[in-house]
Amino acid sequence: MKKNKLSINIISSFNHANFCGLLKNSKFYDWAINEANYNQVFQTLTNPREKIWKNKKDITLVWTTPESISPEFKKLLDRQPIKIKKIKEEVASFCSTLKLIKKNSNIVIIPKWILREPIVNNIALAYSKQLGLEYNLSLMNYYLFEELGNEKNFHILNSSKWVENCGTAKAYNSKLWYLMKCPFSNDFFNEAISDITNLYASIKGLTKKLLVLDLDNTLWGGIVGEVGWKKLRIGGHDYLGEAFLDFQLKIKALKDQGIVLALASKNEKATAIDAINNHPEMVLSMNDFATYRINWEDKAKNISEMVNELNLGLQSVVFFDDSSFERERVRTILPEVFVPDLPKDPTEYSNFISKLHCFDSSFITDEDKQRSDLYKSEFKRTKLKNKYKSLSSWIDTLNLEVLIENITSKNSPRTLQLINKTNQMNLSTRRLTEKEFNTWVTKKNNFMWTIRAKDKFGDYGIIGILSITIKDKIAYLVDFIFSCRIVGRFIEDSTIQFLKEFASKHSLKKINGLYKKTKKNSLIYKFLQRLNIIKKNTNSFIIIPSKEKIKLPNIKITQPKFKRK
Amino acid sequence: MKDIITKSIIELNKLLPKEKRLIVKNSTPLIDEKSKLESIDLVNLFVNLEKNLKEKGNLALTFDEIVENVEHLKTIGSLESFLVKKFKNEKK
Repeated sequence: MKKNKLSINIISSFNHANFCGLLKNSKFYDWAINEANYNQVFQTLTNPREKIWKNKKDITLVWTTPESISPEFKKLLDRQPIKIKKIKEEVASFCSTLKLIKKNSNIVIIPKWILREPIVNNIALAYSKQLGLEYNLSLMNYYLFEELGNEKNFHILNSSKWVENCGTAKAYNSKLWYLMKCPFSNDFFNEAISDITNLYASIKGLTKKLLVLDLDNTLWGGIVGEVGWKKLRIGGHDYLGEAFLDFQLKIKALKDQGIVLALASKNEKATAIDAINNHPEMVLSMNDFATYRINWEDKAKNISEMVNELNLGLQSVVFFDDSSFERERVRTILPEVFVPDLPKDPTEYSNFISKLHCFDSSFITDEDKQRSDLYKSEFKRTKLKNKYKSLSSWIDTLNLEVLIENITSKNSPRTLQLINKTNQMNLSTRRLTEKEFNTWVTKKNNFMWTIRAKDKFGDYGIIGILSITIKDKIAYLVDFIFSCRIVGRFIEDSTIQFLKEFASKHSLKKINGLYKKTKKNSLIYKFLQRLNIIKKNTNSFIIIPSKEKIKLPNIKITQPKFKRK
Repeated sequence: MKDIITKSIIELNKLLPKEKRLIVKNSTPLIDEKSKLESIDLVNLFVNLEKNLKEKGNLALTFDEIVENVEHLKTIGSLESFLVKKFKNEKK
């Protein structure tokens, strides 16, 4: 499989050659690495002509040891008393220098400070203000969080966790330090690479969306078809029951952060549903699952069907099953699905799911929290659609309402998410950082709206983005983005109608648009062709406001109040 | 001994670009004009070797010993012979 390219600047106070080697060979991305000479941190950060700043990079990693940033802290290593005020000033100075590079990179990553060797300190003095290493290291990190916590594209990573995961003895390598000024082992660097990769995926919205779960010995202990629901092990005064209960609580938390849940279980449907509905210790209820397949058929087939039903891609699916046979089957038939090996011991399930970062998200929107309900309503709509022969007569029955709204602080996280995650129904596929987004929307000639829709089955949430920029009485269509789960429901058509009315109301001559072709966005091209907006084999198009109204079925469109900038 | 050397080379290869990776066979050059390795790679190889010798057989190899015996470390095969001989002598 072809790996996506990612560019990274690496600036560190120690020799990072081994880290670069491991990163270059890591499996998820094709890394283009730009290294600054090691131990040239301030020189690199303050010199805009430095080679690594030539082009804006996806990531800049600034990795330093505390003594390389704070000479005052270094005194502690020699057991000399220090002045806390001085440490604070030195951290502040480092952070001001760091802020100089925020425009040079989409994401700046700073591992929190740890020592370059395990702390062996006078126990009695560890938390002494003037002589304590632990006290002052914690303080330095606290100042770092305070200084950079509000910087949108700065991310501090917990490097202490990397030491814990490797074990102290395996995290450090004193031989490498003395031979080549590299304090950390390759195991430690691999932990760092894993966190950097997961962080990038969560910021870019590349995380998983659907978790498909088995039931027997996955969500509960025991086989329901054999022991009956009363004897299943969930909760109670039972160590294994408690472990399954904790696991369910973690899954419920994932659902609340927007992960859609589904069931794939080989069982009698009535028996399994009976257990879910009646076992008093069940945390998850049938309402938590957007869909399910409880039958004796192939799980790979069942997963495939559910993914189609929910209009998701297989690459956004994770499958949990205690059976290695079922896992292997799904891996073989559906290689895009992520199938982690569940631990053999259920008491490790809860810890295992906490360590999986494939569901991490850098922020959670209201739509995320309701995602499962949104998918369930979608399922009901599909069922109804099958009843009606004509699409527009089906739409007529939905009582569909499209709400076009101005950008506010409340809807901007979801807007940004749609801009950065949507591939198929996306005219320009431009990607924006939060800062770039805020700058763009506040410009006088730029207008952006969110598209929300609801019908008799429920609220779809914000499912589209529309934006234009106006120059000399001509509007230029910048973003035309829709979540592909609503495509074909005339919502996108009604948005074009809104655009025409907006242009007409503001005496704009025309709306110019440019389709930027990608590997994934042919859907929008087909839509523009359907409305006769774009001609075959052309990329640019013009929408004339005065031309006839677009034919729409029974859809109520609520327009925003015009905001003068 | 072969297992320990192989493990150390596998660990080293994880740091190297494809074209520099070592094939585990006796004739593969290490400290030699034909070697693809740079000094930093050799440091990594010998640090891995030292760690794996200690972990697997509680055997000690110092960096100074390596530096003093570079003429015996031209290839993977000669490295193995050197280590076998060294630990055999130490046993006696």
